[in-house]
Amino acid sequence: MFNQALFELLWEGTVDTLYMTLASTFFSYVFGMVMAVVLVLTRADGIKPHPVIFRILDVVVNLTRSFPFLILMIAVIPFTRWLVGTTIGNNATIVPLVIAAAPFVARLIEQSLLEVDRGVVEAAQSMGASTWQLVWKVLIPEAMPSLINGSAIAATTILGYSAMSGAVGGGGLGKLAIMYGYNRYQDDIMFATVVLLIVIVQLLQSFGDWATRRSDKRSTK
Amino acid sequence: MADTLAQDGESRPVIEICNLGKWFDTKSGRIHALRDISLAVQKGEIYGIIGRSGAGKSTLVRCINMLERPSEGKVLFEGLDMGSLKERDLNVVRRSMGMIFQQFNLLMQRTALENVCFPLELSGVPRDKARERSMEMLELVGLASRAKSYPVQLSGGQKQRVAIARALSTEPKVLLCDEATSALDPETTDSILALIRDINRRLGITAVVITHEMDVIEKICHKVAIISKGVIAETGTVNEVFFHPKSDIARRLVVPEALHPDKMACDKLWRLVFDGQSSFEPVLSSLVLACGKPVNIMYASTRDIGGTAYGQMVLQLPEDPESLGRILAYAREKGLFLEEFNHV
Repeated sequence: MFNQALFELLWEGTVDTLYMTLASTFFSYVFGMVMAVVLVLTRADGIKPHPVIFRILDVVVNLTRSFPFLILMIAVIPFTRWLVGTTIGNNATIVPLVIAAAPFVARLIEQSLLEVDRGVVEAAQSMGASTWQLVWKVLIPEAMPSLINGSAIAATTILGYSAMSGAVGGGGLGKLAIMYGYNRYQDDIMFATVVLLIVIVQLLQSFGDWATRRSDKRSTK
Repeated sequence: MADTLAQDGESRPVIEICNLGKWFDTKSGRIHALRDISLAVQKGEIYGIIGRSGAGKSTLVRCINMLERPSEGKVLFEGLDMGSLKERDLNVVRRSMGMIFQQFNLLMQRTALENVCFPLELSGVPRDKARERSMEMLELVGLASRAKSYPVQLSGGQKQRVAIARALSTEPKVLLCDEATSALDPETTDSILALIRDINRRLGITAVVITHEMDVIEKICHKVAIISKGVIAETGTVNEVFFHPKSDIARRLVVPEALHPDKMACDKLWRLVFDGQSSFEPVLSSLVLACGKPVNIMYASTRDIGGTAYGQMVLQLPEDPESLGRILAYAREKGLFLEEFNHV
């Protein structure tokens, strides 16, 4: 059943999926982190309360999150073309993936940062920590286990989105499943992509769990 | 600028709080947490601020280093108006004020040593120097052997010691203690209080101690302010307040909770206080013999106030005016402090 060509097809799909997932996760964290930090700082009981900025960002994040991914992907096509010059393939998929995932990631990071004990933040303030130092030396390091845990959730969610992008010109395992499994009724390929996706999700999650445990100094072991 | 401040500091208090008020605007209206608070903490003093929970004492100590912004009034630190400082300058001044907390507030993802290094890191001290200084601080608090432990591996008392080492690492002039022993058991409390007193004596660091326990005040403080419902009810040396409490709240604080009149069946109690000298004499027996009437001892204890032993008894005295008159006359003659305290 599995010949050389099929194996290469699946291998290529797996590599493409991993590439899209990891690259999108990375960029989502870059943008998500900025948004989350601003949200945490400007909220009413935050370090630098600013109702207007908080409200605007909060609404923007909620709006983007309420878009179904498939529709969002089509809606941002002009932007994608402008940014990467094409609307098909891996790099073109990363653009809507990041747009869809960054607000979600921002919420995940926001939650993690809010878990940091207020007392610890207050202690750092009493030592004369600047806002920047509070973010980089207190909030993020203290939330690290929770952030790592969240990143595994984010990566698996983004993996799911990336498979969906196969429907409108994206690459990877999603494309294989739709091209061969859906359009040509090749159930074996459909089955293989599903198994591969499950394996990747499991690996990502296990790695995330392991890294979370390793980073957390609160567990007595 | 620092030099002129230091010179001025000789004559003026380290911390001066002037007519400070703090209110919070909530949906159900304005809540006054503090009203018209004025007090002065002199250099080298341990200044206690006592009150029940909700009295506003934690808000008050947070106003000293501007963790809470006062709504009105001023806080002067070595003559410097804390409220007028720009954020950057405030952060620099805060390094002269260490602070410790009820819940210790250590960074959970850092070792004990890294926690002590933290404030030095914030002020840009080179890593090697910071580590060296931090080790000295851990030695000072008796925890050098636990330098590599994470907070989760330490007991409550050890965590507070790390927090104290951390607060002292930037060589502050003032140590603010917010209910620093309230989460600890009595023995650990004593050892932490002894440490604070030791630091005060050896390093000359001024301390402001917030607590709800009179015990803490009696053990280490020189002066005390009693705060109730957001206002200062009474201030004075710990001795003055212990012997001659003027306010109701002070009277209630100097005897244990269980003896408060609303919890006792009898309606009239007397409080007898005597200092280390008269405690050598059998005060009570002499009193009973002199007056020929039995008295009922409800409570008795010896307290160590500022290093001197003081005795305190709560008595039920005979009701008839004649015997009572004799007892009071005897007490006056012997210089005993005997006061009725039921009218609280």
